[in-house]
Amino acid sequence: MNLKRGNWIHGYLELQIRGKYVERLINRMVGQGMQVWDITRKENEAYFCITLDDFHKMKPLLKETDCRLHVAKRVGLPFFLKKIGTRSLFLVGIVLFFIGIYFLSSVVWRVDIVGNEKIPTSEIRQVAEQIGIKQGIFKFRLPQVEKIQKDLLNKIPRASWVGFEMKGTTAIIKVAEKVVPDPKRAENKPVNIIASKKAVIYYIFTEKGNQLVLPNDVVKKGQILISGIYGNEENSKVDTARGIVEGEVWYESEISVPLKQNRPVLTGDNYTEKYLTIGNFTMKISGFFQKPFSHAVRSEENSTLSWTKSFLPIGLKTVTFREDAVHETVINQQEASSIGKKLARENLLKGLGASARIKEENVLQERLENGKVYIKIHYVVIENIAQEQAIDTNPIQTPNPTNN
Amino acid sequence: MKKWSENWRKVAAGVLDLPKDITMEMPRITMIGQYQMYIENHRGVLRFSNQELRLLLTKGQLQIKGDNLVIRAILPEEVLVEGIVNQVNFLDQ
Repeated sequence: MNLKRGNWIHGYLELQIRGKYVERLINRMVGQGMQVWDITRKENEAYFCITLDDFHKMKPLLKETDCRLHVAKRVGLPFFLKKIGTRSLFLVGIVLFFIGIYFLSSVVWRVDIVGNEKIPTSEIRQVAEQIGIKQGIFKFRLPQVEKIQKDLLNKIPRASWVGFEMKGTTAIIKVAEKVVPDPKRAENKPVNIIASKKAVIYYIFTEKGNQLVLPNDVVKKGQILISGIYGNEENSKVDTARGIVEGEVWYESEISVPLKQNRPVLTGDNYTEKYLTIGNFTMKISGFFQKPFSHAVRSEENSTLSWTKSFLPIGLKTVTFREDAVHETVINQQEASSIGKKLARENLLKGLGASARIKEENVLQERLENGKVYIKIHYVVIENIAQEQAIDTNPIQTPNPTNN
Repeated sequence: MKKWSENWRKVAAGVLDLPKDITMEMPRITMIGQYQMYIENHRGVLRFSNQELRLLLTKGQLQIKGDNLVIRAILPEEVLVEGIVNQVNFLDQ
């Protein structure tokens, strides 16, 4: 069924009709193609709705059927606009609202500084304020972006690049810091590179200096690997030696693993206590009648009410207790030895540098004694053995490979 | 003459299996419970009040009795009535 009804934009009227032949009026209106809807009747009055456009066509029909009309209600945009016309202050309010929105959105409400690691944010903020980038100023009063970037860069000498961007009401200052070269490396102090451990040279790369050893050479602790002294005995020059030296170092470790292992296991039983916190004051509010566990893992969780980033001192603390029992398990020798090997490997690498790696691993001895597995393992580890040693320049010493 | 055309229509409706509301100009009434009634092929409103709506049909009248009756919409040949319908009567007149 396609029953068109008047809509709000074009406007419609609710009419009160009095007369003898209301039914005839309705029939005539419908016959002329007018839209009529929501017809109700109260005693000898009838109410119905018609569109605003049809209102003028009604007059002859009213005369014909001897009915009287009274407009009960006016609905729709045309009437609304008329009303606004009479209440001009209302319109002024609407306009002021939009102007207000526009002004508020053209204010810089926040200044974000990103990308700085060493330069303190407060320092950048200060510099930005000098230029005129601060909270509460209008966007259109900011200078050109290029000029801001240039000024900021001039005033922050430790920055290599400064970017400026407006994102809505947030000003974003991006800073890229200058990478200052390592002062230790920059210095050209006279050094030798010596071996920090007794080892077999596995890999050697000389960046600068006089290389004295080759791969597969056995070196002792303190032996010079790369010398900082160039030239022959008559015409020599002292400089810094630089390079990478990796050596094979032997280690031996002993470890014992008991076959009976005690492991803490959570039983799955738990209970929670809740506390209300107001400032430093805490009050228990739930979890009163609980029998405490003999062994338990305790975990705490705090939550505070927050209201737009400022914290209210009222919060809730939840403490959970999980029962934990010691579980004794017996493992066989194989498992024990694999655990032992893993532990030994971890222990060994913990004490060495980051570049250290195990090349070979040999179990020398493995025996079961008093319920424990004893293992003795031999490791071949490749690690950095280069160590810098300052050269005493006066008097000049000649490198002496026979001082091991 | 009128009788002859009516007979002819009846035959056509039977042979061609056409719906009666088209061929015989009879009202087609759709009701949704007691609350809504949709009538096609009426010929005008004869009487309307809270408790009664009387519609003219090609043959006779349709009387709808109920409470709080409202004509939600009306077109030359269609009416949508809402309210609580208690009785629907066909009156020969």
